Amino acid sequence: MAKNIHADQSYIIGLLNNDSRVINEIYKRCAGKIKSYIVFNNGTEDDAADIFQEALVDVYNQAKYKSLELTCPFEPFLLLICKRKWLNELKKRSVIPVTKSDDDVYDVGEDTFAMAEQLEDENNKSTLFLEMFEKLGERCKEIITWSMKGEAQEKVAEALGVTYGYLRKKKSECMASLMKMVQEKTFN
Amino acid sequence: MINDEEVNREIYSNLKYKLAPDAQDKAFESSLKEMRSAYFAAGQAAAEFPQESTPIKEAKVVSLQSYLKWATGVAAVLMVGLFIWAPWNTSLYEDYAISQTLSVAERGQADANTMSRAAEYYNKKDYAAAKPLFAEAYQAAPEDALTGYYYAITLIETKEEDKGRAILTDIYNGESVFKYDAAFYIALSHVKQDQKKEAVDWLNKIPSGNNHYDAAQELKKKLN
Repeated sequence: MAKNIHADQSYIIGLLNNDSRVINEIYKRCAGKIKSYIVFNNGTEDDAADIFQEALVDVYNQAKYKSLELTCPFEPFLLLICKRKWLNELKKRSVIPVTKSDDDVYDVGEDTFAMAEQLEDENNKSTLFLEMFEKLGERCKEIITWSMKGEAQEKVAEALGVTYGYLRKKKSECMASLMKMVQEKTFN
Repeated sequence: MINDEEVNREIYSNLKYKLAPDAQDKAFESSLKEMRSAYFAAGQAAAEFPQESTPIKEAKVVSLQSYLKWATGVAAVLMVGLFIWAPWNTSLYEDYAISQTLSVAERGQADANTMSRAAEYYNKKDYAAAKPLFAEAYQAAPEDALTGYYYAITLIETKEEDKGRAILTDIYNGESVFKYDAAFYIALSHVKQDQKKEAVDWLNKIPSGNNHYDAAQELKKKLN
């Protein structure tokens, strides 16, 4: 069944296009709300700015690399992401948040809730992948990072000072061990 | 069983941004950093905020509550007084007119200067002075929804409702993020001219979930 894409998908497209007007509009609408929420909940304005920026990066990132499609209004979605991020951060700092339940500040619909949840899951997945990547040897990390830049393999080989043949062999070995870790962790 | 190609894709989609952001990704992050300074105060040390301040905060919350009882009591009395007195008896149009301030954060555009001057007048509510500047910017970039939107508001504020509405209708018919802002403002312009039916028609176009939805519903009730 086709998903019902919300008209606010235009915000996502604006982010993807790095459209300064759309970004400005998002800050204008939402930054103040996040600021008061976080400052009221044991945070500083700097915390608020960090959380807000992180949330927008997550949305952008998932829209670009995971084809995120918005099925709910943008503003409550973004606010909910920020809120959840902040609650997690408080947990990390072992501060008990003042406001506990999830829907006491913003009236959020079920679809918004589900979207925010999905974003968080995907985010956790990326973090997990990164942790596994970090377990690889230095050379592997270097090769995979270079390959992701999307340059021709010959160029990558040259940049790393190895032969093309070696690069290909090493790269498939590295990817194989990363894939093995990923499969064990996520698909079992 | 998940095949290799799929795992490969997963690895790419999960790590690409973190390991090898492209030029566009970097540009996006730097736009965010620019906005940050415009919307958040800088220089507060976030790192030194941890646990020890919590008990103090909690204590404050408790003591605040007893104040709150008094404060709400006083506020209630004041509210009743104010409602009887009602010094703000303004028009519905003024009540609902969007008092957003306009900030222009554009780079490398020829009309940026005109826009920022226009924004300055607009924010001071000097619509007559803002109008020719917006007109100039709008002529240079009629497809630009932000310019069009604010130009239209300026026109409506200076009694050129029809002209303003024409621009807003174009925006509404397009797909910009100002689509429903435009619809809401068209409705308001009709309110301003006491054309209730047209106003309600436009308010009905605003879907639930939009940030103007609640205001639109409220305004509709007041118009009936």
